[in-house]
Formats: sequence, structure tokens, C-alpha cells
Amino acid sequence: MKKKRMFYAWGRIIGFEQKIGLKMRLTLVLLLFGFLNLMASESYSQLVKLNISLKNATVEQVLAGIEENSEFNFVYNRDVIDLQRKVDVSYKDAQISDILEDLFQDTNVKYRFIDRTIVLSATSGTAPGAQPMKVSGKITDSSGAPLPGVAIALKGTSQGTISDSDGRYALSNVPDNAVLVYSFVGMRTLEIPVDGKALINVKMNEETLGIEEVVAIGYGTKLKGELTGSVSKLNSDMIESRPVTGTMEALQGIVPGVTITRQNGKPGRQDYSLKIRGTSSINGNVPLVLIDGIPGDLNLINPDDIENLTVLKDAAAAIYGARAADGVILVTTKRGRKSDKPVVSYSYNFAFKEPSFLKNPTNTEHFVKMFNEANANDGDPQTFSDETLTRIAANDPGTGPGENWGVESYPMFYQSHNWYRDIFQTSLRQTHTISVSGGTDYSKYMLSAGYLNDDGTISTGENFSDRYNLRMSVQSKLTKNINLDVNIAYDDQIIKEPSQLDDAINNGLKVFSYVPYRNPAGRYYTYQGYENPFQELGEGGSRNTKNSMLSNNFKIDWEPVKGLVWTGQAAVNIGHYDDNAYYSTFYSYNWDNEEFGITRNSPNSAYYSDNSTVYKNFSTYLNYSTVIKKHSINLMAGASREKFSRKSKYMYGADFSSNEIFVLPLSDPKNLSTGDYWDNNSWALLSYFGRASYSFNGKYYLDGTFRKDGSSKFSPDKRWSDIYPSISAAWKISGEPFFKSAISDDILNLLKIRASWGKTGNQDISELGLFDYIQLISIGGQYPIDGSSVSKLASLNGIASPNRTWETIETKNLGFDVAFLHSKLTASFDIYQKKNKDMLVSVAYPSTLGASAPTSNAGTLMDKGWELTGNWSDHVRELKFNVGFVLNYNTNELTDLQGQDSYDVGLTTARQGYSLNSYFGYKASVIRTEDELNDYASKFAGKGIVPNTQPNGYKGLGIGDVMYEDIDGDGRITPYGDKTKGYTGDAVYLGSADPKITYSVNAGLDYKNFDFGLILQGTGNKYTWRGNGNFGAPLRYSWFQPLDYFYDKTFREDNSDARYPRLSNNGTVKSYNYQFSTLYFENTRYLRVKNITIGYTLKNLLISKLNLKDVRFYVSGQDIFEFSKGTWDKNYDPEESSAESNYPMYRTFSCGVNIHF
Amino acid sequence: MKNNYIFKLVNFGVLLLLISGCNDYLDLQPQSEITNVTFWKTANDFKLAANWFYNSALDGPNYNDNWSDIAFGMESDAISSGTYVAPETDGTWDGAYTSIRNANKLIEQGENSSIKNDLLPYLGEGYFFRAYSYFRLLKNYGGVPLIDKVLVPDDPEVFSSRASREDIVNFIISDLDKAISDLNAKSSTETGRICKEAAKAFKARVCLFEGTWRKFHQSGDANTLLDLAVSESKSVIDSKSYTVYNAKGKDSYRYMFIDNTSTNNPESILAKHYRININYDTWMYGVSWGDMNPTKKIADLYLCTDGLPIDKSSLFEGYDLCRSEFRNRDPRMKQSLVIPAISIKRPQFDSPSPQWPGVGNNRNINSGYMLYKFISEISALGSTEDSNYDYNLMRYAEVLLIYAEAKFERNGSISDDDLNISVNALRDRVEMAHLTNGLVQISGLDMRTEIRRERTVELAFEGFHWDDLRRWKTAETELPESVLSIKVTGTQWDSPEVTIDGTSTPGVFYNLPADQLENGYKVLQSGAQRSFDPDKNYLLPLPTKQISLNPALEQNPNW
Repeated sequence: MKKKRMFYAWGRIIGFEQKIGLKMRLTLVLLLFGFLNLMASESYSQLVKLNISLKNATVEQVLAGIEENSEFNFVYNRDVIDLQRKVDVSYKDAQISDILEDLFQDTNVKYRFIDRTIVLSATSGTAPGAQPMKVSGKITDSSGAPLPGVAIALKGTSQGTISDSDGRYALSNVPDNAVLVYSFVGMRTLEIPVDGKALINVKMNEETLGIEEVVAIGYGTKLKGELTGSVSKLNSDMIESRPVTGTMEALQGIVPGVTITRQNGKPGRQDYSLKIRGTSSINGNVPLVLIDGIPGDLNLINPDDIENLTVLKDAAAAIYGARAADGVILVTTKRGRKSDKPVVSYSYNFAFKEPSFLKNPTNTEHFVKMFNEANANDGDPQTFSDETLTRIAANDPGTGPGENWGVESYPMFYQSHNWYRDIFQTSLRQTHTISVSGGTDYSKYMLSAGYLNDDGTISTGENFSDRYNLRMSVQSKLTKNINLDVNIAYDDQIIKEPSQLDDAINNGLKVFSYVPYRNPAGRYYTYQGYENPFQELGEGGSRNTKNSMLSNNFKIDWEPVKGLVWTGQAAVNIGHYDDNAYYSTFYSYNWDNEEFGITRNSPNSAYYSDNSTVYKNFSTYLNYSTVIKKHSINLMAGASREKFSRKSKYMYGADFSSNEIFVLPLSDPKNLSTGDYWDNNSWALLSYFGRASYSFNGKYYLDGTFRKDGSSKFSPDKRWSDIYPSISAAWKISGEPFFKSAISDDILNLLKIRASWGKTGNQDISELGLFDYIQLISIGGQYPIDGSSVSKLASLNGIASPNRTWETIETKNLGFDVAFLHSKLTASFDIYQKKNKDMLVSVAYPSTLGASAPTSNAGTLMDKGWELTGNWSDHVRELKFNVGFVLNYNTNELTDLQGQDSYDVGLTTARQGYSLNSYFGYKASVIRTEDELNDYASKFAGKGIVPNTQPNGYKGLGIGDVMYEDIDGDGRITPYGDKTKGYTGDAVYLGSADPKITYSVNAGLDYKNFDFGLILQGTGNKYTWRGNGNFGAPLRYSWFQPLDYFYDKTFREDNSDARYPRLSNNGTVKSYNYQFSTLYFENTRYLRVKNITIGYTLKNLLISKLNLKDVRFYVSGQDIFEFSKGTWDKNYDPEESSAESNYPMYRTFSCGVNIHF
Repeated sequence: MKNNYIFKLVNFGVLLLLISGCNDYLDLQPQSEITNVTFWKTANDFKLAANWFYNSALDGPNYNDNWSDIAFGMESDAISSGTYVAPETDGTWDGAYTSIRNANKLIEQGENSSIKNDLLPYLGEGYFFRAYSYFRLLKNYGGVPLIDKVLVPDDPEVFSSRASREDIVNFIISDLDKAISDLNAKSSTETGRICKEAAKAFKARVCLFEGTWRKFHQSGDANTLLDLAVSESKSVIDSKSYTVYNAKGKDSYRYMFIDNTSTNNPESILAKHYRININYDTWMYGVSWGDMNPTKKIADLYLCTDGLPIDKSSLFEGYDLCRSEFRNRDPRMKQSLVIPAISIKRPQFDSPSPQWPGVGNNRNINSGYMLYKFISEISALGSTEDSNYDYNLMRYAEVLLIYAEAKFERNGSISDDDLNISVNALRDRVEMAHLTNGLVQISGLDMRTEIRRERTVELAFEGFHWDDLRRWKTAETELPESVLSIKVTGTQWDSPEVTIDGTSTPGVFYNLPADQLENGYKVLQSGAQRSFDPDKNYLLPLPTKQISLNPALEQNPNW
């Protein structure tokens, strides 16, 4: 009970109580009790029954046999125990004690159970006993240097100490049968039985990084050292140590080959995109994310629940054929471990989010000056008088008659307000995660609950995202050879935002800076027809979405005979997505507080939609592994079936009797409408798969997989894929005798070469409808044939595509792993190629066909790239550090699009011969001299896009206008040339929106109780064009205020080397000057200080009286600072899209605590 | 023991594989879509399919008159300037074939349906819209590939070459004949749908277009088509299904386009409908901002009230004052063009305001003349209520004008009786003097010019004139001329401040530079920047991408 009080007390201190609520706390406690009761059990050594039969075996082989068949492990000193003695053993369903009794009969060997560890000792002269004694010694590293700061703990107690600066330690009150545990970050943890020794000197070895780590590879696991494919693994420490709210955020930049980008800063809707090694299809496939083997959502899962995460990048993913074209991410959630008592962890993080890269419109003075400058350039009288400038300088509040262009009867103000900045503010975020875990020999459990409250950065209106995560994991040994693994999770995310959020953000940029927010009566002020964004946010209604997922995942492993395991897995994920929004009517008020005559959201309205999805996955597979001398063989074969179905609908109502309560019965019944919210169709997949792995002597590895899939998305004839094969091999050169004799293990301790080839299929394509192979009739559209009511319209929905089938992606990978200096320095390099050979592309047919031909498997996309990672972990006395980096290079080319050579001026998704997302536009410069003007005008005026004089006041080209290059030399500036005459047009390739290079650096330091972490993340060249929006060019619309970025950056006689062309209010000048050209084209590469964390840990010894194991406090900053280009003086985040309604990104500064009981 | 285990296990595994192996696991049925197999069962299914064409096959509001000499847009237009280059793709071409595909499907299903008799009117609509779509193609390009079945990508017909102009015309007429026979006569319940008379009226339009094209381009037998144009338009007149709109007295001409009180305009034969809360088009807003501006050509075409042109009538008061040319003119002039400084309602404003060209909150272009026709009187700031008017695609007035023109072009003359049931029925609406053979004779007028004038004036800004110039083969003389607007030199416009009826405005035309004037008139586009090649510009070029996709397609001459 003491512990629970403690937990409760902490909860009160940090506001946990209010957030989780009494009900949930009770539930947690009840759940906890239930499980503890279940777990009362007998001792393992009494329960477990062993079968072992060996002839003429050494004692060592017998012990190894027992270890392999049970959870026992033996601890002994080779020097005292005769391991090579030959024995014959034959036991069936025997208890361990019986076997050991027989085995060591008539020897001086004694055995002792400590938990599941069996300590063998030789009886010697010293008297055995349990008297406490003092143990001391010196700890050194592999080079013999003293190792300070090593934690020495008496196993099973909270007693312990830490080695001093000379590596010495002393521990009193140690029972002579105790076991000491020596642990140090970066070193392999040692457990040494005291055995009555008073002096124990210890040499600790560096953890051979990951070689013995178990890695999930799909329907099985492998030791990291045995991997043949390109697989990256990330452990929970890289996620846990940082204050991130989502898994995507946590993964950004730290996994080789994985690129994550976010689009905006909206709570719960950051629109992360995830790619593994670029893109493998123009149809925008996404990596498959499996949580404990079942597809799941990385945006929903609590990152604290992740134990580790494996990324299968090359042919290693082929085992998941049907959906693995873009790689696979395998997430393994945390499991309970055996412990005497429940282990409780709690973490809390409290963060400030400061909006960053806010767009900055001009102030009133700059706006007025720019406007007058445009007038001067156009030869028009200046719109704003000199008196206006004086009054602006005097900060005159003024309400004089309006004088903006064409504005007559509106007030004119002279002050400056930054509407856009003021609709944002700093906001708060907090997270709590608590978990309880433990277990016995027969059952282990882990329960966790998480809560995230993420407030949006808008200053008016309600905007937040709440995420609740509950997860339960139980592993039980039903019989000695049947294991049950149950994982149940409920993830729930609620997002609330003003229903006119995007619109309001956009409008925040549009209102003139001189307009006050409220009128003298205190009401939101509506100037002319401009929406008041504060009013939209505050009074326009709200949108609520709730996305929840109940994941049930059951798995049984049955090992009827040694080495042969049958696995059955059944999972049902039940998802629910609610989306509803209210649009409240609000009124506009003018300066005199009269209603303006414009009523927004009239009539008021609301929609309600709900969707439920059911995903079922059944899989079964057999796994057989055996070791015959130096040959190790593993075979696996299985099948799975998956089905996804959805039911969705929406209801729309309008004219509610109240602006407060939007329940459908209060709406006007004649406005009610209803329909499907999404497609209610189902899809199904049926798959067969298998793997064969072989390795010899720990040096040569060979792995082959196959997969065959059937998908309901194709016509019955084209439904089944080919058999997708993969083959991979590895050679651990460092394991060869010649290598060992040539190079010291102290210098280069690992050199491994890997190669793989494989094919995967792709059908998870958004373009692909679920029933495209049948001619569909679409019914929809709004048209009043009789002139009063809506008539339904039916038409042919495209052309049926009975011939389409799977896209096939062929992957090749060659990789090296090296480790130097006892794995202090490790590096991996992979080079790869992905070729999508049957990519579904539109094949252009003459329009006489009457519809777009269905896409056909006729395109080719080639992806190439490499990845380099390196890591250096070492320590200088008590200072432990590690530095790692990830460098990815990826490029793609659409090698065959069936001649599809059309492109847009601007961003073009797919054009043959270019990479995806390429920009095409004009090369341009500003006309700065009379000679340039005359020369250019005489050649091009009146031809192509270059205008002649116009009746709208356009007087022809002038100095300060843009000149575009006539690239194809046809004497006219046109985007596309007449190809039949050999002209290619003047819009040329300018660059790609996708960076070829992405990289990150992460570094960590540990000194005594302090830890420090740093992550840098960045990209190489990537391009953005923002010129097309309302604010992408100055005064593009005279009725919207320009960005201050353009102030003094436009051509004037006295600013003749300005970057941008002259200002103008003339439509012809603007549309000509603001063509898609290099002038507005930006390279937005960046290097971001993604995270800095500084922590301090109070170790167990200091606060053991509180019964806490340790407490870590930390402060952290996320997205703190960046070196970036092309942000237009920080108006745009280098990662964000150019959409002007984008919710701004933010920087996070947080502090938090992690507690382990 | 071991073997037994393995045996059981293998059995178990095989069993599971078999369960998962049921192949019909993948045979799912669409839950929220309608397939070709389940559709086409009832007459209502066919009705829904026919409905689609009204939304998707019909032209909407257009600025086509900016391609002619009677109107000018914000900027000069490449088609009317002769600087048009063959585009890569073209919406008219693609859209027409999409409609043709859907019509072919409706016809195919309807002709083979066991309930054909129940769905004849919808089948008729299928034929009508197929003809309608081919006529759109014919007008722009001449002969085009003739597709009369639903194609799949593998069909060789996808790569058809162009049918002859004559074949296309025959095909259109044959489809319209089937439509006329299948469609019901005009009823008061199925308003808005194509009826028998509408198909006849459309057939008359096609026949006049092609008949006069043949006559003036000297390409084939014109008379058969002109006879058809006469007989079909006469048949529509005699059916008395339509009448000239007269609901708003002498302002009826202008109000006909902005009358939303009735969904049943008696003059409307075919219209694109826009209704509040259903659909809208911003065209009305656009024309009010200056997206289409009258030119001197159309301003001068309006007769004086005595029925004589301005160069012959003593009633014409010249250009000295801003308003003088509006006096004693065909009332359609001031219902189509805004009289300067007059206060009118416009969608952009809360209340009526005085209208000046190119000043302040008025038009975005100071062309001189301002369009009044189509300008809605509903203030619609922040809503789309100004965008919910019917856009007439075919109105009874056109049928009357077809009758008069076809009759004249067929016979070289037209009787006063025929003029009275056609041209003069329109003049009566605006209380204009009648056109008679006598007046023509006495005043030295030309009957063809007068009939064409009547058509141009009545249908001004409704998108007919560019087609008319081409079929009359007068484009080569009219289009290369300078596009002019108001007279400035020596008139009231040429002053630093212009005052009319007590309201004044800064003189935007004061001291215009010489290059913006021609003979004292404001130049919208100088003739030097315009051209029209008779061997090339009478037809538009085929979109080049279609030619590269289908080498059997031949580009129009000289493009």
C-alpha cells in the first residue's frame, strides 16, 4: 500500500489526478489486483518437468541441454568444476533437482537455486555458510583501465554501491551465497556469485553491439549477428529518453533509410508522412506497420509502449509480399518480465509549445509604402496620401474616411496590428504514462496507461488533442510446451478544433494591419467583407473527431517436439472514427456596432459522421529449427487471411433552432441529408509464405523466402500474384581463421558482407478502387433539371479494368557491417536498388475513347540509394559517451511511363525521365537596364506569355519586369513548345521537392548522474515554389496585405539590384511577372537541432528509503533551432508545404520526470 | 511418439491451410456502388443516366463573344487576335467525347432493353445529346472521328481518322431525327427536359449553321439544309410551344436574363440551370466586373428608333456627350449597355451606384462601354446568390431569327409576313419600328445586313457572334480590324473631370496618349496586333496531343 500512496501523492503534485479521474484510477488498481492474485504460483524448479536423453555426453553438454529446454541457467567457475567428464543421462518428466543430484553424485560439486539460476560450486576448504561478509575489488575495462561509476548490486535486494574513480568498490554485509550484479552502460552486465570470496576483481567487456540482440524479422526472430538483409532496429531507449508525444515524432531522423516529414503543427493532425528508402510507386504506397504482427497505426500507439522497432528495408520485407513493397516496420510492444514484485514505472512530461515560423505580414507603414510604390510604377497617382504616412508615424488611431484603393465609405485607421501573430500563442502539453509489470515462471504481465493532452497554439477558440492509451499484455505458459501471448490495447484520440480553423488561419493573413480587432463597443469588428479570424475561431462552431481502436491480438505457440513450433495468431482490430462539426451562425458588426448585413454560417448547420471498421487477421505457421553439428537450419511455412470491412455514414442538418445545441432533431427536417461518409466496401487478402534459413559455423548465412498473395481488388483472373521470392546471404569474414590471424580482434572485431535480392508485390494503392474490375455506375452530382429540385445523375464511372494486377517491385541490396575496437566503433553501409516493373500508370489514349483508360501495369520506377550509419560508444573514466550518425541518399527516376511526357508548369508528380515530384518552370531574371528591356521587348512582346499593351492600363514591358529565357529558341516564351515542330517549350526542369540526402547525428553523454542527449536532423537540397498563393508574391491581390519579406526587395530605380521584379497593381503586369520561375524558387534544405535533453537521475541508493529504484528529472527542447534556407525570413518552416492555411509548426520546451518503483 | 506428434501436427497445419485456401474468400461484392450489371433495369435508371447530360454535356455560360468583334475581355484574346496556337489539350474536344461515350452507352442499353417503349423519351435524350456533342466538335474543328459505340482501350476505333464534315452533319441530323421521334412533346410537368420541339429547334440551328457555311464557303449543297432549317423552325413556331418573354413590359428584354421569379420562362427552349443551395456559376459576377465589354461595333449596330442605322437616321445625336449616342436608339441598346453615370444595382454592391467606366469600384477595365445585359440586381457580397440564374442556351428568339435568315438565304428574299412572324415579333417586345421590305427599299438598306444586324443585336453577348462571322465568311474582314470603343477626342469624355446629372468623376480618358486612340476612338486593340488568315483561322486546330496519340488524325490546314 505504501507504493500506491506514493503514486497517488505524485499524481497530486503534477496534476495527474484531475486528468485521469477517479474511475480510471480504480479500474487500474482493480486490474492490478486481479493479476497479482492470478500469479500466485509454485516454484519453477518444482513445477518444471524435464526430458533429457544423452549418451556419452560431457557434463557441459548436459548443462547446455537443460538450459536449452528450460529457463534455467547455470553459473559456475570452469576452473573448479570438471565439465568434460563423460556421462550418460536419460530422464523423462523429471524434476531438475533429481537430475542434478544424479549428475553430481560423488563429486565435490554443490548446486544452489537462486531463482532460475543454478549456481554450481565446488566444496573446498572454506566453510560454507550464510554469514555476511565484506566483498571488495577493482573493476577494469577490456584494456585494463579502471572503470569508475559501475553499479554493483546485490542481486534480489536494493543493496548496492558504485565504483570509485579508481574503479574500486567495497560492499559489506554480503551473504557468501549472494550474487553480485555489475552493470555499466555500454558494457555487458555481469553476474558473479560471491561464493565466499572476499576479493572479486572484475574485467568488464564492451557490449558487442547488438550481435546477440534478438531482432524480429517477420513470422519469427533472428539474432542480429545472423541477419542477411538490411534491417534496422531501434530500441526503446531511443524513444523513452526523449519527451516526444508520438512515435512518428520520435522516429524522425534516427532510423537509417526511414524518412519522416510533417506538414504542420495542428494537434493530432501533423500529417506525418513515412517513407522507407524513397518511394516505390507513383501510386503512393506506404510502408506496412505491424504492431506485434498485426497492422496498426503509428500515430495512435503510445511511444512509451514500444519495446523495440525493426525496419525491414530490402528483400527481408519480401516475406510480407503483398503489402511490403515500401518496407515493413515491425513494432514489438513491451512485455512483462519475471520479478518478485510488480515493477511500476511512471513518467510525466510538461511542455511549452511555442509557435515558430509564423508568417509576418507587413506593418501598416510598409504596406502603405509598398502600395504607393506600386502606384508609382504603374504611373498612377499614389493611393495613400503623405498625410496618411504622417498619421501612421504618429500612431493615430483615426477613423477617417477610407482611402485604400477603391475603398470609399469605410473607416481608415493608422495603427498597426499583427493579426496573424495574434491568433497564435504559446500553449501547453502534458503526458503521463504509467506501467505495471511483473511475472512468475508461468505468467508475465504488463499493463500500461498513457494520457496525452496537447493544446493547440491558437489564441482563440478551443483546440486540443487528447490521446488515451491502455495496453495489456499477458504471456502465459499453459503447459510446458504451449505458450499463450495476449495483447489487448485500446487507443483513443480526440481532437477538438474550431470548425473554421483553416479558414481563420488563412484570413489572419488577409486582413489589413490597420484594422482593429474589435469595434469601440467591444465586438469583433468586421472591416468591409474581411472575415475576422478571431470571430471565426471563437464563434464559428467546433469540430470534434474521435478516433479509437481496440486491438485484440492472441497468439499461441505450441512446441510439440523440440525445434518444431506451431504458431496460430488471431487478431481483430475494431476501429471507430467519429467526425462531427457545428457551424454556428454569427453576425458581423461594423465600427458603429451595427449589424453588417453579412451573416456567416447562415443557416447554422452540423454534420455527424461515424465509421466503424473491422479488421480480422488469422495466420498460422510452422517453424522448425535444428542444429546439426555446425549446420543450423530453420524452416518456416504458413498462411494468413485478412479482411477489412467498413460501415460509414453521415448525416447533415441545417437551420437548428439554437446556436448552442446541435442535435439533429432540432434542425429543420427538410434540410436533413444523409449518405455514405466513405466507401463501404470490403477488401480481403489471402497469403502463403515460407522461409528457409541456413547457416554454417556462424560464418555463412543463407536465407530464402517466398510469398504468394491473392487480393480481392483484382478481377478473379488476375487476382493471384506470382510467387514472390527473395534470397539473401551473408558472410562473416571476421569469423574466418585467416582473418583472425591477419587482423587482431582488438582492432577489427566484425566484418560482415550481406547481399540480398527479392520481389514484393503492391496492391495497397489508393488509386486502385476496390471494385475497379467491374464497370461501375456513379450516381451523384448536383443539378436542378426542373429548375427547383436536385436531380440525381448517373454516369459511367471510368472504364472497368479487368486486366490490372499486382505491381512488382524488385529489390537488390548489398551491405557491410564492421565493428572496431571491441565494437566501440561500428558502422554499416548498404547500397540498394528498387525497381517497380509493373507500376500501374495511366496510358494515354486518344480522347475518342471517351474516358480515361484504367491504369495498366506498364510503368517502371527505379529507386537507387545508399545508407551509411556509424556509431562510436566509449567512456573516459566516468564519462560515457556515444556519437552516431545516419546518412541516407535516395534518388528515383520514372524510367517508363508509357511515354507520358506531359507536365505542369509547377510541381509535376510524374513525368517520364524525371524523378517524382519534379518542378518545371521558367528561368528568369529581372530586366535592369534600358538595353535589356529594348532587346527583350523587341524579341518577345506580344508573343507567348509576354503581353502587349492592354486596355486595362498595361503599357507594355518596363524596367523592373521579369525576362524569361527562350530555352527552345522558337522566338516566343511558351511553357510547352509545339513538339511536332521540334520545340520543347521554355518550362524546364528546376529541381525536385524530395531531398536526395537526409541525415541525422545523435550524441549522448553520461556523467555520474547526469545524462545529455542531442539529435540533429537535416536534409540536402529540396525545392519549394510558393509563388502561386495569395501571398507568394507581393501585392498579388491588392486587397490582401503582402508579407513583410518582400518589403524593400522589389526593383526600384534606387533599388536596382533587388531580387524581385517591380511592384504593381496592374493585373497584366502581375500575372506576367509572377509566372512560375526561378525567381520564386527556393531551396529549403535545413539542419535542425531536433532535440537536446539534459537529465539527472537519483539512483536507487540515495532514495531507497522511499522504495523507489530511481528517479530521473530532465529538461528538453524539441525543434529548438535550425540552419535553414529558403524560409523567406522565417515565414515558412523548411518542412511545411506552401499552403497558406497551414497550422504553424512549433518549438517545444519541456521538463519531465521518469520514476521506477 | 514423435512421429505421431508430427503426423497430428501436419494434419492440423494442412487443415488450416485448406480453410484459409477457400478461394471465394476473395470474392467480395460491392456494398456501396452500383455496377453495370445491376443498373439499366428500370425506366428510372435510364432517366438518371439522361439527367447526367444536363449537368455535364451542356455548355455553361461563356465569354465566346470576346472571340468576336462585338465584345472584348480584360485582355486581348488569342483567337480573335489570330495569335492562337494549337493547344496540347482542349476541354471541348475531351468533354464532347466523354458525353458521346455516355450517350452511346445509354443508346446501346436503351435500344436493347426489353422495356424500350417505357424509356423512349430518355433514349431520345441520349440521341439529342450525342448530336449536341458532335455539333460542338463540328463548329470548332469541322469533321472529327465518328464514334457510335462504347469503346474499350483495345478497340481499333479509338484510333479512327477524321470523318468528313458531311458525314458528321448527316450523323447529327440522323440522331436529331431519332430524338424528335422518341421525345415527348413539350409538357408542363417535365419542365427543363429536352422535348420534341427543342430537338427541332436545335436541328434548325444545326441546319442554318451548316447551310450557310456551305453557301458562303462554297462547299456543297446548302439548299437542302436551309430548307430543313426553314421547315424545322417553322414547325416550332407553329407548335406555339414558346412565346417571346414579355413579363416585364418594355424592360422585358433585360429582365428575361435575370428573372428568377419563374422557373418557366416561356421563351426558354434549353437552359443551364443554377439554383440557390444547389449549384452556381460565377459568370454573372464576372461580367459585372468587366470580363466582357461591349465594343464600338456593337454600339453602332443598334438602330435608331426609326428603324434606320445611325449613318442613315436623322435621330442619331452623335458622340459629343457621354450619353448622346444612347438617345433615340433601339431600346435593346440601353438594356445591354450601361448609360454612363446612371445609377444601377450590381451584385458587387449593397446599393445602386453611379456607373463610370474604369473608375474606383466600378469595372476592372476602362474600355469605355459597360455591359448591362445579364447584370443581376441582387447584392450578393459574400454569397453566391447572384449566381443562380438560368443561362439560356437556346431561346425562342433564336428560332425566329433562324427562320428569317434561312428563309432569306434560301430564297434571296423574305416576305413581310415572314418578317412579321420572326424579326418583328422581337422588335415588338422593345417597341422598335418594324423591318419591312418597303423600308429596306426606301432607305437603301440591305435585307441580309438587316437580318444579320437583328440577330447580332438580339443575341449579343450570348456567345453566337464568332460562329456567325465564320459561317458568313466575314471573319476575314471583320476580325483584323482595330477593336475600338467610345469616342474620346473632342467629346465630353476628353475632360479632366466629367460631370453628368450632377455626379462627376475624374476624366480617365483625358489626354489619352495618341497610341491609345484611332480616329478619336479609344483603341482596345490595334488592328496591327490582329490578323485572320482565311485559309487557316476558320477552323480551330486540333489539340496536338490527340494527333501525337493518334497519328491517323490530320491537323486542320495551315495549323
